[in-house]
Amino acid sequence: MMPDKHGYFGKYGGMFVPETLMPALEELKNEFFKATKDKIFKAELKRYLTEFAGRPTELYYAEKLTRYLKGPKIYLKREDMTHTGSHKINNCIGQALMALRMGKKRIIAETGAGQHGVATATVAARFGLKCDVFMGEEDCKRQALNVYRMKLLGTNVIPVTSGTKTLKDALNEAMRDWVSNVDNTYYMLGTVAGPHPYPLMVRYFQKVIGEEARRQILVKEGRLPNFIVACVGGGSNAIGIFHHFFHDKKVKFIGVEAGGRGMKPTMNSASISAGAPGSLHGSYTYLLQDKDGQVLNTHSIAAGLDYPGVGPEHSYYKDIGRAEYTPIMDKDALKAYDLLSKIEGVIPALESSHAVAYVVKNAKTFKKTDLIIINLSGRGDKDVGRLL
Amino acid sequence: MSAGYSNKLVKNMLVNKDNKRKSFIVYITGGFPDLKTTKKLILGLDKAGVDVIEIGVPFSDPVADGPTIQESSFYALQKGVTLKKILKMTKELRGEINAAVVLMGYYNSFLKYGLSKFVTGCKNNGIDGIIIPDLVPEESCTLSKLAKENGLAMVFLIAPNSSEKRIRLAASRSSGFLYCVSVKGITGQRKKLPDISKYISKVRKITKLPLAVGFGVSNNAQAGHFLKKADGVIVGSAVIKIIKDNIKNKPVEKVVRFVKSLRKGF
Repeated sequence: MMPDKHGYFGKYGGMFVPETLMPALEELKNEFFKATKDKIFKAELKRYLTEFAGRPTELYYAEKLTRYLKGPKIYLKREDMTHTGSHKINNCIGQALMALRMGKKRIIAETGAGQHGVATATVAARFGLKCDVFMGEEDCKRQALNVYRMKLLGTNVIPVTSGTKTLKDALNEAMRDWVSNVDNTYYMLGTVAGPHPYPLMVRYFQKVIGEEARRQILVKEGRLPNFIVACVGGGSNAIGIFHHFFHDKKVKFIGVEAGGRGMKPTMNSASISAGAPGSLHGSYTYLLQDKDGQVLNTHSIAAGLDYPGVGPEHSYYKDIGRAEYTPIMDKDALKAYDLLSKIEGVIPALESSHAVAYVVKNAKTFKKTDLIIINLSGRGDKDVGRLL
Repeated sequence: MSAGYSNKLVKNMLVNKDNKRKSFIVYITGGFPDLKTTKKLILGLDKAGVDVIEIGVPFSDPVADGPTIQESSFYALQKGVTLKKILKMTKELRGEINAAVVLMGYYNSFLKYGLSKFVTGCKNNGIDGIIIPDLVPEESCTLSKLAKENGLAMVFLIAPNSSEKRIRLAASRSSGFLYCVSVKGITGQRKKLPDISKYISKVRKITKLPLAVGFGVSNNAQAGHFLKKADGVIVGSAVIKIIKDNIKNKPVEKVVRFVKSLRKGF
């Protein structure tokens, strides 16, 4: 099973970090393996996912969207219905339990749109941990509501003014903080990226999405879906729903990247569709970079997809052909945001709207008998303010 | 030990150690404020008695660096400084200086350049060694092999929390010296420096390599403090700050004066 013991998915992944973090990553990895064999840990995780996060989430038949598109039968995996409004809470509960196990009193995290930041702040409040969240100064402005929510939850939000003042710089600052406070601090990384064991661990905490979806679709339809569609920024909601279907070779995976304003450099955040392999934030993976290996500025209307890298497991899926990755532009995501709100009564996050848009745009290419699951990774209330 | 005695970095460090002379290593960001000044700085540092000059290759996401080096790096990038241009500049200095020249940069810059092309580029352009703060020994197999084949020294970093096993691994892959990071943290000046006695004694038991301590050294007292235990000291951010504060006011002279005063204290 991937990754191997060095954290590699094929040639992607690994541990490209300053030496100071290696002992901490080693400790984390050992503790994680112990936790996954610990019945009490697993029972606690399950209990919090049920009682605090509100799992399982529904697999909802989008009847009106199906009729409207006159194409395949569409189901939505309703991660938007979890506490805090996105799949991010799954990972945060898991990692908060890890922090408690390891006796760390302080947690730090990076956030772009603020969804991971809010989920982190939420578990910090619930488990009594001191919490600092790094957020690019630009993102703080764009997502003022989430900044307020984090503060309300007792978290200290640190605006990041270095570099491009967005998510990648927030990650840089979080790593610098971790290097400096490694003894008492737990780094709650929000996606399946970063150095080993994060891609593995975050997948472990997100795979519940796919486990539920597989069970649910078999009950409702008596068969597996033909396609699973999910948006990919760092890629945690996508890995979360894909993973449990990995060996179901007939189930096709589609990762939808942020095509932004087009495929020219700096106009999108489509790391796999427009990037090339490189090393950033601890792993070797597809990366948006210039000819000198400098990381490019990115753009997406969905702040949660606005990141130049991607989880190494996605790079591996891309190379072995297990998943197909394709960009969707801002304008199409916005149309899907509007459409799903109007005809299903579900306001999707702009991130998840990319996955919806893919199905809307390609409706005619599917067979009528096809069964599709779209991972609706988050709710769109957070985006309303920005789009007013 | 990978690179042989014919390597200038290895030679300079060992000659110093044999003569019980402390080694002085200075970091400057390549192309800050421009490559012409970097070239003058290298010549000045060499004359001032610096044993090893580290040239930073600017990178967009320098996670191991504090604000001073980060800003210098961005400044250089905005001026269009690239690895290729840095190598062109160092080529012109070949045979001109006694100090060993080492490139310090983040892994992606070298990966993108092509590891093989990078290593031969170093060899042919007057570079003696390579330091990559986000490349741990486990991930360095390809580059270490290429470096060895081309007679280049690889220098790995260890930290105060590195285990004996990890120190042994870093030492076995390093040549020239072992870069001992003084604190758990990033580069930059600090008011108070830690006691490194136990740390350095632990490392001494594991390796005979010369030990250079870096991160946080900005004045004579601090350099002296570290040199009681270590074979060499690395100064970076303090020098960058002088360049920044005197960017239009003879930065090279100011840096050379500072470095000379530090050297006297050894």
